[in-house]
Amino acid sequence: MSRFERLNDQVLTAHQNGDRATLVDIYQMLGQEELAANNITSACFLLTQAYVYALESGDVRATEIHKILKSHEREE
Amino acid sequence: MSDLSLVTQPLNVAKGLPNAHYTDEATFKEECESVLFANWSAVGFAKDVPNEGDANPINFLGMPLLMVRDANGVVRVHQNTCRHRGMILVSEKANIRGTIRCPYHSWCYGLDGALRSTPHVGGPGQNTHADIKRNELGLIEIRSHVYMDVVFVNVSGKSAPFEQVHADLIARWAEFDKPLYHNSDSAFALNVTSNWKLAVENYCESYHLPWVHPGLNLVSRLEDHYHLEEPQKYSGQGSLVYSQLKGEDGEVFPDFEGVSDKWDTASEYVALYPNVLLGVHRDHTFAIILEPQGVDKTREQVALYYATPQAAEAEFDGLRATNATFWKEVFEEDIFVVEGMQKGRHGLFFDGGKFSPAMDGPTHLFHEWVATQINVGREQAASA
Repeated sequence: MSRFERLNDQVLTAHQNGDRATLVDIYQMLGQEELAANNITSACFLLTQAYVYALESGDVRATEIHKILKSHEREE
Repeated sequence: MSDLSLVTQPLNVAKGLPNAHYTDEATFKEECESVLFANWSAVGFAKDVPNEGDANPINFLGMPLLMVRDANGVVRVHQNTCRHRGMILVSEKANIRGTIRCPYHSWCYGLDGALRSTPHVGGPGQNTHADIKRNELGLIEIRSHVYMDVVFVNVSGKSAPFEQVHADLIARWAEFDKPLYHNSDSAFALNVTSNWKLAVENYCESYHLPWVHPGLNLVSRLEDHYHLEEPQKYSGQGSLVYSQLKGEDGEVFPDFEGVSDKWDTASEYVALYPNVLLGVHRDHTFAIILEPQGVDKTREQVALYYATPQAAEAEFDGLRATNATFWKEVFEEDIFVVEGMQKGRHGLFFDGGKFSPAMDGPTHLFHEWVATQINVGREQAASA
């Protein structure tokens, strides 16, 4: 099983369990990787996913993710 | 369109509302607009959203509402509909730790209704767009007000403020306008096959007590009651012989702090138009929300409240259970009456009924108020 297949399984399981923290973990990690590779659109897509679940669950990581999205003019 | 000219006549010559107001779908819809949406109607209890972030979806006459307790502890009511594609936002009671996220495209709203994020609205990973103005796209807040723990809404947004509309009752019952304490063992619901107004009409008057509640005859006789009649505002009845419930060891519920001597043996029961029935006593209150679920279906949500935190805790478990059972039995005794009147309203030759000039004043006032609201609605529609 590839890394992405494994992560995909984890995302689906987290959705089934309403586990927002894990969704933030995974999307934020992948977003940071894309950011490091300078794939900005892909990074901001993934970080947006992380941001929304962090916002929804009152996860403090929403603040730092928002900062990154805003710095790329992707958030207000 | 029903003829209401006789309904607004003086009590001694008036007739009650015509049958259509209890049996006809089109008339029910007219009342939804002119009576229930145009005024301050009850949709729930604040006790049902006790904690910050609690959200309770409510279907009020088909309109989706969301009652929340925000970060400041304030109860608010929003239209439970996303501003994007009109999706229902919250389908089940929940505690929202962060934002309200639409399950469709994940637009996120704060508990205050502010639109916080619009993911991918400008394309993948782009969460802004020049034409998406978040400050114009917050949730639609419905005017709301909490009184005696009942959450009222004015859907039309055109009514005068609650405190103004109900200033008389608020002043009359100022001694009970205090923090109320509730235990979940003191709430229950009754489903009745009846138009919601019949429950109001029955509650308003004491005339039926000797026949429908014979258990009260020896302790609370008809002659011990008086009418409460405030035209175009509220009506009901009072009793001069309220006797506190006593436990096996003579224990009683604590009184409301500073309650005056007047209430030593008095109690009052008011229909706060349109759809709330309230009762006050020196040591407890109750509220009944009449939730119209159709022209001939009503859900009665009942909640009892006490004067001190202790009265809602374990020390008073037994006495609370006895009190809840007492009131449930009383309210259940009324069911056959409101359901019987509903059936009777299918009698083609029933003309709205003849009121007793001596005993039916409070009920007539409710009919008069309903007719007035409908007439106002018709006048507005005619001039639109």
